[in-house]
Amino acid sequence: MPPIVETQNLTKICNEMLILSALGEGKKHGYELAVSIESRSEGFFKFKHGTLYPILHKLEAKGFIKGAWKEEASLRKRKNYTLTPKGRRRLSVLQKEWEEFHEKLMAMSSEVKP
Amino acid sequence: MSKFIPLLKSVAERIDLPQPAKSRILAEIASDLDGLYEHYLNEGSSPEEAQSKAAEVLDLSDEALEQLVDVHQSLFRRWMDSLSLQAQTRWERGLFSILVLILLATGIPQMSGEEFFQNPSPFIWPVAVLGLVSLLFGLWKCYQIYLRKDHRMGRVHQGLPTLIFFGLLATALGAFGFSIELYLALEKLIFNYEGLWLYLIQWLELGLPLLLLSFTITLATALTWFTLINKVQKIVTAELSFLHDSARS
Repeated sequence: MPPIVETQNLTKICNEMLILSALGEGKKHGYELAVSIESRSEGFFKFKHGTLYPILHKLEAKGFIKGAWKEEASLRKRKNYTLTPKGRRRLSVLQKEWEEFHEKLMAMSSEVKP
Repeated sequence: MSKFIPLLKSVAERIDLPQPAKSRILAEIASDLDGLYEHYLNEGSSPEEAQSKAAEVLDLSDEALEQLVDVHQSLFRRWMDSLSLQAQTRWERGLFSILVLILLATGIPQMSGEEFFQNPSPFIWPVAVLGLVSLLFGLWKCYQIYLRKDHRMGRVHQGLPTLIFFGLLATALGAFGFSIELYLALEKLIFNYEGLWLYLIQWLELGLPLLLLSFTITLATALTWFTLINKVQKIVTAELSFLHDSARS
């Protein structure tokens, strides 16, 4: 049975995918993640940094990412996030679901001729 | 961080979470604000511009903060947040749970039977009263820290030594009663040596429930004290770390 994608969850799924993908490159802290997503997508995806925290903490609670505090050279503590193996599997599932969603959407919309 | 203290204070007022979860979130936001500030400085902004851009980009709306609080509001999450980072390892969590289960599975069913308080040693009543007082005291302290979230530095420690004192007093009283029962049994034995086994069994019948009750009370108060002191230490550490960071910047 194909996954049921509820359209109101699209933003949530999209945010989740963006964060998991960005962490696939290596560990990052909050603002670094937002900057990385913005620069990698050449400004296509723009994050309000404040909205990052609920998503990050939710992903951490679910075990998809892991947060660890580290003291840096400036003596400032930063919370760095890394992608867990469970997170990698989650990203792979989301990628498949998103591809299917894209296919279905394009198939539906292409039925209408301009 | 001092540059962003007013902003952080306003965020702190809008986050309805117990410590140390609240301070951890604030520390994370503070470090990101600093990072953003440095980022804009490196891009050529003036300090004032960098500060205002960082605050603007972070944009912590009420909706975002509500979602953040929701994440931390599940019972399990709250319990996890209340433990120290050291106590969050799998083994320590397991050990802690096993200890609680043993306490619940052995002591409480034994004491909940009707026969437990039939023909008891007179010492069992002060121990039971002490247990009740410890329970009420522990509940009041839990209410103060976990539900009312009264985390004022002058008050969080209050009552914790009393709680552990009650626990130790229960064992001392139980051991004292156990010894007195032994003394009384031996006294009877002097006049009637043939009743050795009878007096021995009577002594054990009177003394063992007394010891079981007092040990259970001590274990329960120790467990409550351990949980509370752990939480209090996290509150104090988070508060000090936050103040220390604020003062350093």
